Amino acid sequence: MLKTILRHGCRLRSVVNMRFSAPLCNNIHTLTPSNVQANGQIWPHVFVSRRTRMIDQFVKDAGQMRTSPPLTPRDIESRVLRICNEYDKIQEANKNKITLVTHFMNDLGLDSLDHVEIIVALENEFGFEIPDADYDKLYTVQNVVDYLIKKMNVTDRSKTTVSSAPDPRYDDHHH
Amino acid sequence: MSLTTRLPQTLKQVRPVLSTDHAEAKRRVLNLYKIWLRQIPYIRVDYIKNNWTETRLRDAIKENFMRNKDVTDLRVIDLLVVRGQMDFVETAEIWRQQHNTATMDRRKDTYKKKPFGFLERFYEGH
Repeated sequence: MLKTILRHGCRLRSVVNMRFSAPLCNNIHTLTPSNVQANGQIWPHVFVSRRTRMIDQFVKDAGQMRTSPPLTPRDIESRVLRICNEYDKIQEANKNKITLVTHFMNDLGLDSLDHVEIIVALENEFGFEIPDADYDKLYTVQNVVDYLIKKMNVTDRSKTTVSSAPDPRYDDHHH
Repeated sequence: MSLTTRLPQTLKQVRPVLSTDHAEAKRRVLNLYKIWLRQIPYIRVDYIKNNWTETRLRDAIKENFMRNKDVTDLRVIDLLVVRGQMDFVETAEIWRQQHNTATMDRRKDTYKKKPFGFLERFYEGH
């Protein structure tokens, strides 16, 4: 039990440590030479090293920002086809035969209100608003995919994920 | 020589309510449909006692729009769009009550339907 108290105690102290900056600690005069560390902390060495390890871990985690995987045209196609297949106004016979060249009105027998429904579903899926003027460009699945590719600037080669981590050569910060 | 043949051409055009041609009216109708569709998840939550699912609500909205699909007169279309937009604002701002919105969904039997057709009216005694 004493051990847990000590452990929790030292964790709290390391939080307090973080707010002290080096210049402040120089004003503390009640220091014995044996207890003073290089950065002016008065705690024993084990607490200092734990604090730096924790901070290093935080910096590493923040640096490797997990972004979503880059979008490819194939990805967009599959999502659009999935939305069209999930639409309940389409007859069962046509459900799995929706290809890139199906025309919503001519092939699937939908009317303009159903078309609006499909576009609203696409807006919900891809997260951005499609203006009214573009509605009559989007009558076939191929047109929809091309439009989305253009709007979301999807290129064929996969983009490398941008991370804000510093130069990995200097990952180990030596205090 | 009836009056209509002697009327000059300018008098035959009526002053438009909102839109000047059918394309513009169609745009208004589709816009109204879109905002109703976007409001569906909020309607489900705001009027939760009605236990609407999303498909049911979509069917109800579609049915309300399809009821007027044969209207060709531009001014009537505009008036219907305006009325639909008023209904939308009332539903979105929760000025209605739970039962009030249920009246828009015809499949909910909230009241006895008016007799439609000769026989039904005959049975009612009209």
